[in-house]
Amino acid sequence: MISLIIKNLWHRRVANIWLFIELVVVTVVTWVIIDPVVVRVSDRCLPLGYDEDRLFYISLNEQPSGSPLYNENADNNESREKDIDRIVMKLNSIDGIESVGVTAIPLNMIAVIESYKCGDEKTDSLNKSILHDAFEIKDKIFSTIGAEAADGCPSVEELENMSFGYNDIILTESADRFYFPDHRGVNKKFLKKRVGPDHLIECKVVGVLKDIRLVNTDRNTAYAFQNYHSNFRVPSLLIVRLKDGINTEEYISDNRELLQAAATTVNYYVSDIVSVAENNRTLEERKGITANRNLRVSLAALFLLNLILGIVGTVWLQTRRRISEIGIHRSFGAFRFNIRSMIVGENVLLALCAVAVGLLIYLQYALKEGLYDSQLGAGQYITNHSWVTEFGVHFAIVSAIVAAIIIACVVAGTWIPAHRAGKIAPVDALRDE
Amino acid sequence: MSTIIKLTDVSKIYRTKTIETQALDSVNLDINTGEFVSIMGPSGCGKSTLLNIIGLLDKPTTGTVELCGRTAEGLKDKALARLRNETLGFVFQSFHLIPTLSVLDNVTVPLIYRPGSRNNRKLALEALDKVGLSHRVHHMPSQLSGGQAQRVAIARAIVGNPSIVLADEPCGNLDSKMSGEIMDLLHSLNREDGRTIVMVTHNEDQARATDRIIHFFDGRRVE
Amino acid sequence: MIATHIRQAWQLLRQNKLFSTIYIVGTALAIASTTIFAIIYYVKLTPVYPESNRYRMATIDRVEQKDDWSSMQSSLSYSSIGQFKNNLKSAELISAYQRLWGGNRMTFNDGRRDRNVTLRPTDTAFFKIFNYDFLAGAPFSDVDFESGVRKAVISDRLAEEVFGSVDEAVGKTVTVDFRKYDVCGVIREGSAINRHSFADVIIPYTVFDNYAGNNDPDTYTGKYKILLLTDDLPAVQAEIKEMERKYESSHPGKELNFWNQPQSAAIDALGIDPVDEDFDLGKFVRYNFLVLLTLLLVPALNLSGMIAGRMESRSGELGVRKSFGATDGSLMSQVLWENLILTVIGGAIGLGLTWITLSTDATFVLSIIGEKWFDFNSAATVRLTPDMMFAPAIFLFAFGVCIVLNLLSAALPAWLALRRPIVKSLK
Repeated sequence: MISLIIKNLWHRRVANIWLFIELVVVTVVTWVIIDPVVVRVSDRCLPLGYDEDRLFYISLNEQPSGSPLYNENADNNESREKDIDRIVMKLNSIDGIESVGVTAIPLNMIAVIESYKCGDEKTDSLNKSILHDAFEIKDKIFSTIGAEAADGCPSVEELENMSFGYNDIILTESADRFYFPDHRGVNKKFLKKRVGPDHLIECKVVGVLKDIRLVNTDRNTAYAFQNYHSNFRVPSLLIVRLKDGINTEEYISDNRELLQAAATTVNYYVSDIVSVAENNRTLEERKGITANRNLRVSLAALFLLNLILGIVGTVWLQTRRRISEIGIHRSFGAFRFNIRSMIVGENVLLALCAVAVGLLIYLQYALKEGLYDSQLGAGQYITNHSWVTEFGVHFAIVSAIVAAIIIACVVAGTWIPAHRAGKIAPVDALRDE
Repeated sequence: MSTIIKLTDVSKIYRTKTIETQALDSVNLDINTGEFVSIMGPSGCGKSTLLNIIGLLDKPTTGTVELCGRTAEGLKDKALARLRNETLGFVFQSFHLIPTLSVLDNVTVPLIYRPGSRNNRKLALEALDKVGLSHRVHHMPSQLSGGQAQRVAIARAIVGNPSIVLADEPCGNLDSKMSGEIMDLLHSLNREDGRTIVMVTHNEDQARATDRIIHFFDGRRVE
Repeated sequence: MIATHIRQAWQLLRQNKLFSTIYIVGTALAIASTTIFAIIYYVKLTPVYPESNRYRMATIDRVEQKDDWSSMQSSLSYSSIGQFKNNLKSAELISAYQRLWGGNRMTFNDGRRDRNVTLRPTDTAFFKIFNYDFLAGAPFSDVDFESGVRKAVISDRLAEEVFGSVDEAVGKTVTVDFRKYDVCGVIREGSAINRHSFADVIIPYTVFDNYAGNNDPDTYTGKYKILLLTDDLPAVQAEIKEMERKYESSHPGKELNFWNQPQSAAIDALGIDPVDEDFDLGKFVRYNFLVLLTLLLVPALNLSGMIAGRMESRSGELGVRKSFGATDGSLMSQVLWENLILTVIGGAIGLGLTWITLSTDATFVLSIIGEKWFDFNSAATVRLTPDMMFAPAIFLFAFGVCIVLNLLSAALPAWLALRRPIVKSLK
C-alpha cells in the first residue's frame, strides 16, 4: 500500500505542486505565528509556587480632598495604619475568610525597588540583577498566599514574627542558588552594589523561600524581598485567602457589599475587588499578551482554514479525475477503507514532505535570527533554565506541534472527499470515462 | 462438472425519477467450472449489467448470485471485495489500466488487496511472462499499443489466480490481428489453467470458438 | 466577448457547485482578513472624526532624565508644557493632557449605580487640535481653565445614558471619582480606537490640586502627554534637540532625552516606540506589506491548485477551442475573466462579512488585533462609524486585492495549462 501511495504521488507530482507549495508556505507561516503562543502557554503553565485559587484582592482608595466624605484629621500615616489594622480585623471575622495580608501593589506588579547588582567584594562583576520587591512582611503576605520556607530555613510563620532591619533580605531558592552556589541557607552576608559611584551595602539573608513565580507571565523565580518600611509605600491592597472549598468568583459576587462595608473607614473606600486569578489574566491583557495570542490564534486559524479549503478543493477535483482508477481498484478487491486510506495517505505523505521542506526553510531563518523567547526583555535579570532557551529542544518541540497541526488539517481536509470517493459504486466508477 | 456460477431469477431494474428501465428480467444461468462461455446480444440488451452482477460490482434488484458455491446475497462491502479479490479477474473493453502506474505496478494491483500476499513482484512477472510482455514491465500504459495494453489487463486479471475471468468485449477496441492474439491468450488460459471464462462479445466468430453461447435480448435469455 | 466569458463563467459556477463554493469562500476569507486590516489602518492613519488635523499633528509621549545616580523615564511634567510653549516656535498650537490609567468611576446621580469612564483632563487647546462636533453647549473656557472650575464636556453616549438625552445634559452635573462637575458641552463620540481624542468626560486638568507637580523648571518628568500642530515637523524636532542641548550645557553631568520626538500622528498611531531610535519606516512598511502578501499568498496558492486541477479537467475543451483557432492569449483572458468573476463574488461576500463583523462587535475584532492600540477601558466599546467603514478607499482596496489575488492565482496555472500541445489536450 505504501509503495502504491508513493508511486501515485510521484506520478502526480506536477498536479500536486500547488498544494505542495501551499503546504510549505503554511508550515513556515504557522511556525512564525505559533512559536510565541507555545512559549507563552508553556510559561503560563509553569507552577506559580503559590495557590492562585481562593485568593482575591481588595484595593483601597483614599477619599480625594475635594470629596464631601474627605476627613482631614484622618489624612496621616498613623491613622492609615490604624485604619488598615481595623479593616484586617473586620475581614478576618467574616465567614469564609481564612487570612488577610496587606501589601501595596498586586503580586504580579513586582517592582524593582532598588536596582542593585549583587556580589561579594572579590567578584562584584556579577552583571545580572534580581528583582527586588518589598512587602510588609509581618502583614502575613507570605502565609496568605501560601509561600513556603525552603528546607532548613526559618518557617514563614517565624519570618512573619521576626523584626526586620533595613538590610535584612529574604531570597527565593533560585536567587539563593544564583548568589551562593556552594552555600545554602540563612545568615549569610553579601554586598549589594548600587548603580553609580562605589557604594556597597552589606545585606543579611534572613530567610529563604521555596521558588515562587510572582509575575505569571514570566519564568523568573529569583526574587529578593525587603520590608517596605525601608521604602515608603502606602499600604492600599488587601490580599484575602478563602477557606477550602469556596469558589472565589461566587464568593466575591455574593459578598461584595459585606466586603465593601468591612473595608471602608473614614478616608478609605473600596475601589475594586478582584480575584488573583482574574488579576493575573488582566496583567496578560494589559501587557498585550492576550491580544497577541488571540491575534496569532486567529491568524493561524485563518491560514489553516484556507489550507483545509484548498485541500478539500484539490483532492475533490483529483478524485473526480481518478474515478475510473478507483473503480479498477474496487473491482480487483479493494475495500472502501483501502480507497480512503490511499487518498488520505497520499496527501499525508505529500504534507509530510512539504512540512519537512518548510521546517528546513524555517530552520535556516531560526539559525540566523534565533527563536522566540518571552523573557528576552528581562535579559539583565536571571531567569530560570527552560526548554525555550535550548535551541534544539525548542525547535523540535514547536516543529512537532506545527507538523501535528498541519497533518491534522490535511486529514480533516482529505477526509470528506476520500470518504465520498470510497462510497462510489465500482460499476459507476468504471462507467465514467 | 460442478457449477461455479449460478444465477437464480436475477432481475435488475434501474430507476431514475422519471424512467424505470428493466435491464435484466428473471435470468437463470448456470456456468460450470472450466467452461468458456460467451454472451451475445445487441447493444443495451443487458449483457454488461449481467457481467457486472456476476462480477459482484453491482447488486441485483431481486434474485441470487452464487460464486464457487458461496451466495453473494447479504454480504457486506468488505466480504464482497474479498470475494472479488479471490475468485474474480476482470478484463475491460477500454483496458482500464491506471495511467500513473507502470505495467508491473498495474499488474500488482489485485495482490495489494490480498492479505498476507507475498512475492507480489514475482507473481506479477510470471503473469506478464504468460501474456508475453516480460520485456515491457517498466513501461507506462501510455507507451503501449492497444493489444499490449489488453495483454497487461489480462495479466492483471490472472495474477491473483482467480477461478473466474470476466471479459467485457476484450477485443472491442482492437484490430483483427490483435483481437486474434487476445482470443488465443484467453483460450490458452481456459485450456491450460482450467479457468472459467465469461466473455461478452459482438463478434460471431469469436463467440463460435467458445464452449457455449448465451444469447440475450431485452434483458432476457433467448436460447 | 466579455459578455460570453461572463455567461460561460456563470454556467461553470452553476455546474461545479462545490468548486465554486470553495473558491468563493476562500476568496471571501482572504478579502475579509485583508480588509479588516485596511479599515483599521484607514481609521488610524487618515483624518477621521475628530482627528481632522491628523496630517499636521505630532505627539510627545515620553522623556528621559539621567544623571550618574539615577535615570527616570516617564510622561512629561507640567513645567515642561511651559518650556515647550516658549521654545517650540514652529509649533502652531500646543496642548497637554493627563493620561490616566485604569478606571475612573462615574457615580450616577441617583447615587446607586456607577460605571467606568475614560476621563481626559486637559486644556482648552485640546478642542482646537481635535474638531469635536458640539451637539450642545461649548468647551470650557480659558477662564474656566485658569481658575480650575469643575466643568466637563461629555460624550453624547454618556449624556444619553445618564440624562436620557443630549439636550438635557448641559447645566446638569456628573460625578466622577466623587467629584462633581458641571456639564458645559456634549460632543459626538469618536472611536475609542483613537486613543488621544476618545473620551467620555473631558475636564480641565487644573481641577486637580497637584496638577502642577513640583513645578520645578528642571524637572521634565511628570504625567502629561503633549499634542501639537505644526506644518514643519523637522523644524520642531530641531527646536527640541536645541532644548536638550541647552539643558545639558547648563546642567553638567545630566542628560535630557526626547529621542525622535515629537513624532507624527501617523507614527504614533502605529504604536511605534519613540525610544526606538533605530526605527526604520521603510522596514516597517516592508514588514507589513509582507504580512499582507502572506495573507493573500496562501489563499492564492489554494486557488492556484484548484484552478490547475480544473484546467486539467478542462484540457479537452481548451484543445477543441485551440483546434478551432483560439489563440493562447484569448484563452488566457477567458480563464482570467472566469476566475475574476468568482473572485469578485467572493470579494463582495468578504466585504459584507467585514462590515457585519465590524458593525456587530468591533471591540472584539480590535481586541484580537491588539488592545495596545487604544486605551482599553471596560466602558470603551469601540464603534466604527459608517464613514470609516464605507470609505471609497476601502472599496478600491478590496477590489484591488481581488485583482491581485486573481492574477496571482489564475495566471500561472492557466499559462501552464495552455502551454500543453493541442494533441495532448485532445487525447
